[in-house]
Amino acid sequence: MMMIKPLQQAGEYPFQETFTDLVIPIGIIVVMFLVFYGISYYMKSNIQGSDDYMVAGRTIGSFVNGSAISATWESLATFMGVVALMVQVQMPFLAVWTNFLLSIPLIVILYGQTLRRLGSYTPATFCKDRYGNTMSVVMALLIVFVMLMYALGQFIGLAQIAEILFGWDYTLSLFVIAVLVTGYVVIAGMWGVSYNSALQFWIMLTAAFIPMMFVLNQLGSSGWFFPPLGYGDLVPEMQQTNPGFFDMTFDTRWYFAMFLAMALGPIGMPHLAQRIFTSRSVESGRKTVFWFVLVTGLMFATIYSVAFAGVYWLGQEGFEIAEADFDKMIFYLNFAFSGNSITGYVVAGAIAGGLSTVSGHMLAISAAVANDVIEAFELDVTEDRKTQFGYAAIIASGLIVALIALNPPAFLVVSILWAFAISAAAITPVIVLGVWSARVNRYGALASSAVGFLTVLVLSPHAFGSIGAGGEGLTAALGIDAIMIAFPLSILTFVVVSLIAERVGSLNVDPESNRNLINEMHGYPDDDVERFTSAVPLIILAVLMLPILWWGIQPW
Amino acid sequence: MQTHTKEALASLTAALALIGVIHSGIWFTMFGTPDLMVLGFPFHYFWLVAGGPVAMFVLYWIYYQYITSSIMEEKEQLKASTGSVGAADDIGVAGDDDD
Repeated sequence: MMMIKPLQQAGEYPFQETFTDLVIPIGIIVVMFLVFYGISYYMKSNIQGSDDYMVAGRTIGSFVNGSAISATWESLATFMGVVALMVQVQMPFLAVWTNFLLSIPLIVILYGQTLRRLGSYTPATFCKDRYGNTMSVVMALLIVFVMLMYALGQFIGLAQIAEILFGWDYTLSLFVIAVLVTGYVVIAGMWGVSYNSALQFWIMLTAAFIPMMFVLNQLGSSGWFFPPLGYGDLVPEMQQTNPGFFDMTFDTRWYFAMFLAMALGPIGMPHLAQRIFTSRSVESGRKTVFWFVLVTGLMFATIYSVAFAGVYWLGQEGFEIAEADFDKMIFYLNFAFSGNSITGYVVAGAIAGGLSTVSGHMLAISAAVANDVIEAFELDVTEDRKTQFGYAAIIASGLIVALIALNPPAFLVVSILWAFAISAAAITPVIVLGVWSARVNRYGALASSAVGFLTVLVLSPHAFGSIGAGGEGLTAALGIDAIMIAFPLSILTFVVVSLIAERVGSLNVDPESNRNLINEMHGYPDDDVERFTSAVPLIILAVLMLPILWWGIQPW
Repeated sequence: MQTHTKEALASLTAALALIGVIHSGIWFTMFGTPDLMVLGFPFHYFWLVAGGPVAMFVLYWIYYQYITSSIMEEKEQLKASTGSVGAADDIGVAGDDDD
């Protein structure tokens, strides 16, 4: 334990900021990692081929899956970024984050159950069947890009926790985290990752819930025993010390744009959709939503209580903290009210969140490279070789993310939300409309993905500073203004190009060629009946996009 | 109405209903926040923290009941009438017990 040293700083704030005793916190974290590796090792014997490695042999039940999706979806950000943004942006961010809750039910309703029935590994597998090889490769590349951006934030967050805990420099922390995470995912595959993620969720929930009982009790709340809704009696004092805490602040367009980014973006995220594909049946996939809403609702309500208590405590004590330190609010609260050991468990919860999400990203990259790209190029490889490609893709993705994270780009703080915007504009329309309409085709899909991706890229303030979508400050930084233009443009392009392509004889587009596939994915018999072939819903959708586009290009 | 039309409409209605209850930020900015307290919280705060997710659970349950009973039953009848029971499983993989 020579490397462990107390990290108490020289009193920058009038409260404890870091650990003064690391033995118990580090013990908790080491035991947690040993359990994760133990589960991975135990589950490894189940991996016989790529189906086992990428979708856990499609054996995962609804409770495990609901918990695992919740952990993968919540990430490290739940403990750090969400609390920070709730403290900073207050009520509007709560509205934003609640939107995120929509994504899993919408995935299941709009395409999860159909693609599970089809036996897809990733959304790109579906694109190969539905649109052909070129779109499959484009989708696989989009998946890799979006997952790398998402994973980047998680790696850096985990490295920062290691930095704070051990006092190592950032580079060492980053590579230790990269090795630990990559090793755990390589051993586990989707089988071990699914069970580990379910456990990680319950670690996260208990690490947020139980310490908050102590915090609320000491803040004087009579409902301290149930943190999610137990702090109502602190509201009058909050309204006095922070009169703006419950204000909605932004206008309707801001919330609408947030819906596009935060609800429709995650729908296209493969690491979430893949969880539904691991379900032991379509029915089990549907039931997963019940567990997901239940456990995630509980987790979110608990985290909102952390943010509320943080703002309340700062106001009550008259403390002020730097903006950059809002991320650490949950740790500050627990240091102040519970001490080192319990805060150690809270840190373990945050690490569990990061591990769960980043393992989902790495498996999505692995499936996209080892399955979708190989199949798109029709390479003749054995099942064993394909699984080996999967291992190699995970190791390569871990290395690439670590190398990018060494010198992170300036837009890093919003890279996750940027990934959401790209997903909403370039991935979600192609998958959802491909499931529900036989009239969209590969030409529309390719054009839609390209337009959606490039529009977000060009309008983002981080790519070309001189070109923007009109928003400023938080609105622009989160990419909200860009999505109001990119999403309707993507849908319009998809519908218009698809319908025009049908009329160009040389393109040989035949909507009937999808008939069997569409019947199969929706569970209908192969009875030569045409289903989902009307162009009317597509035209209505395209017309609805026009006012949204007009709204989006108005000055913010 | 054909089964696939009912399925599409049910899915669209469920999606819009979920979006409607959960994205209350839009309604609160359009119509104002109600002057009502629930469990000590302003109503709009309570709704986003707990009311919306509970409403989401209930709405999804209604969708689930409709799909698993009515729609899946009609699909089974269609399969039976065409003598292709299990056709939807053809592309599936080991471990499936598809509906």
